[in-house]
Amino acid sequence: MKSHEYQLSDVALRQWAGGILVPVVVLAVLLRAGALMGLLPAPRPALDVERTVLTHQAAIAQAPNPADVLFIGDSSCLMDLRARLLEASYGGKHRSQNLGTFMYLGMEGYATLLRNYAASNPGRVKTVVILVHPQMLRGAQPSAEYLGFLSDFYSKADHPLDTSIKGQVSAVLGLHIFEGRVLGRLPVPLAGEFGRYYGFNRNLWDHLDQQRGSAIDPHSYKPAPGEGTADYRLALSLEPGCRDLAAAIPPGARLAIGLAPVPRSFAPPGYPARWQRLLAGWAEWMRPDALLTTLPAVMADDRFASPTHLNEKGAIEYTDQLLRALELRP
Amino acid sequence: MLFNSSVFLQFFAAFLLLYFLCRRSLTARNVLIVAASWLFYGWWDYRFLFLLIFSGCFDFCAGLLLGRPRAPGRRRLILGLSLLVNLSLLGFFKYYGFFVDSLASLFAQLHVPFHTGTLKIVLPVGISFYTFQSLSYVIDIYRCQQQPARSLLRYLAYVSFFPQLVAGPIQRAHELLPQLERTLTITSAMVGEGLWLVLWGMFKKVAIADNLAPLVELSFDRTPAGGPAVIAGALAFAFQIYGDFSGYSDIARGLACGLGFELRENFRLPYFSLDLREFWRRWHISLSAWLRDYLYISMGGSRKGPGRTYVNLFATFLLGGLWHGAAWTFVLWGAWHGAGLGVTRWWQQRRGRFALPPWVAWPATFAFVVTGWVLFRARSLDQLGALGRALLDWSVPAWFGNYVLCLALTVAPLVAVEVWQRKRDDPLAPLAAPAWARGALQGVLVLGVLLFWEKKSVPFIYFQF
Repeated sequence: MKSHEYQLSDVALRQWAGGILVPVVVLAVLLRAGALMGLLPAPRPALDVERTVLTHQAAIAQAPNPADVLFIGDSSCLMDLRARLLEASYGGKHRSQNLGTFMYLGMEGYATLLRNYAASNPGRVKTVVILVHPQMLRGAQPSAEYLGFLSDFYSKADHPLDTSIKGQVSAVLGLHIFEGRVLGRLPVPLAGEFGRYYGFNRNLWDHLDQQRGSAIDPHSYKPAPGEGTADYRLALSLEPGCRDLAAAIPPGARLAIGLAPVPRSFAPPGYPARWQRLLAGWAEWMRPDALLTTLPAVMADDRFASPTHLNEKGAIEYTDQLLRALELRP
Repeated sequence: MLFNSSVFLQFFAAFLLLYFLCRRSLTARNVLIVAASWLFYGWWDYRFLFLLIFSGCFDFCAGLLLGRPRAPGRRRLILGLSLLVNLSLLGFFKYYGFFVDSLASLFAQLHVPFHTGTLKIVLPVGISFYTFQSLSYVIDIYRCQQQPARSLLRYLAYVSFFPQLVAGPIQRAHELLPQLERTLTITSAMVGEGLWLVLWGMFKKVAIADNLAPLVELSFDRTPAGGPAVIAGALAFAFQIYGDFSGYSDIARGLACGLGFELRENFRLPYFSLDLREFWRRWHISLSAWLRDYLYISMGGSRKGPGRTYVNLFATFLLGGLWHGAAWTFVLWGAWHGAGLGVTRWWQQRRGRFALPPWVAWPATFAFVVTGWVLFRARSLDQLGALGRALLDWSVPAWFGNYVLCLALTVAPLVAVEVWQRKRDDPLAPLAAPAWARGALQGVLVLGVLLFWEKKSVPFIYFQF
């Protein structure tokens, strides 16, 4: 017996296929035309925690946003210090701004942010503080994806979703345009602990605005066996990026560099001395005006949200230490 | 294998090609269906395939034995054996942990030591669905409402038909078996209907349910942030579970339709219901019908007086709640609906005096159903208590405005299409629209699915049942 037979009309099938394909193509053309003719808002792809932070900090760096003390660095810089608290401690006399982002942006990415900031706020910054986690000095190379994201943001280009087949099809159909220009401006719930703490991309954005670019890592750190130790060293591959970053310091601004702390249980014996050597080695490439050697190399475990980030309580304490280390006149 | 995954698309494309090549042989087609269904199921965990095969073979034999003329006592014995084996498997894999934990908790309250052991049992995906499908076959033969299948191959194809294997619709043997025994005709209209069902189902799952999942987590999986957030969370979950489950059912029906099969409708615009009885005629229709035919009627239904009718109704929904999952929250949910249906029945018998106008009946029914979803979604009785206490706190979290906007934007397409379907009283109303409107809608659905495809990859909620 036959299994099945097809009674398909070519006309009907063509109508069905065309009925779907034509609107898809029309919508894709409309999206591209809308982007080209400026009918759609500029890209602001704040679609998750990382892209919200990157977009926010890139936007802040691009706008008139005068600050006397500018912090820049990786996610330790983003999470470990409270820029607004620091500013309040000086009675508002030293306006602070945190442009901390992520390790994967690399020194080159920080330099791009800094150059944009200096161009948008000429002659204002008095002190630039570069704060990174010692792990970054192991030689983390910047991610092309992150750098591309930043460069697309500044050139107002639509950043492709990803390089998978689905990402490429989406890009052809202009979905990345919709995602970056429309979806990123709508409330998008954040995943995991960040979602539970902040809620939505817009809430994180508002928090960054209110806290002058600083964020809080909402996780809780629980030391676990086998998570490694703080065996950090300075990788030679970082030198070009560091020199590029040092060259981006606005003329007349004082440069201070520091390294973030690690949890006490994570630090091997003699770690503070190694931390100092690491800082001194890094300083040879950065040529800073001040080395923040009085900052703590280790802090109590209960002050951490993760091996690389302080929690809110830890960040408040660390900000206090930073305040003293910077020796700014009130 | 998830419908909303790239691996399934590849699997189905390969299956379609082989299906076309098998068009001249019924046996080849059924072999292909069984092999593909086992691959589909085994992709998750091949070790549990044996359960599916064992259950299928056992009930096939039970059906053959029941089909021969025998004394009523023998027939009851065979039926009893089939029930015992099927329900034991279901009970062991699904309820062992629940009963052991409940016993341990009871003994702990009595200060009696009780060792629960360390046996952790993985719940085989879809076991509740294929067990019920297989059971209905044996019971129907016992009731002389169904002839036993003569071919093991066709029976295995019926039990393990992959579009509806893991989350229904639960098919009766008289609906699906005959289709596996005859030549099918695939027409252009069927392809069109299948395409619409798959697209709309995918959109409901990927663009609506999966985008509501983080909102629901925000309301339910953290310390409750006040009454408004709990209410908004309950609404979000009502649409999440609907989009998720009806989305799955639509995809299942659409895939089957494209292969020439017809599966029963599982959802028919349930949130427009004007009372609870109507809701259960529109929500998870295949399970409601199963519970009615094999549980409620077996317990006597409404034939044994009004008092017993209410007890039967309540017991049926209590067990229906437990079918959904091994947790007291599901039992409570079942009890909530059982009690609600009892009240509805009592009310409707006095309808002449107290008929509710639709503008009261609809919100009352919807609010009752949404409240039930809070019981369903709560992870534990403790969490349920916390959610209840949160209702007394009317503070609004900072993210609440974004929550409401996100909820409204996500749910809007679903509401718009369903209002259209409701006005036409036809879930396939978009197919009757002018070609340009249908095309534009389907184009938007394709883009919506593509936009959110594999972004979150949330498994279908009903897979856990």
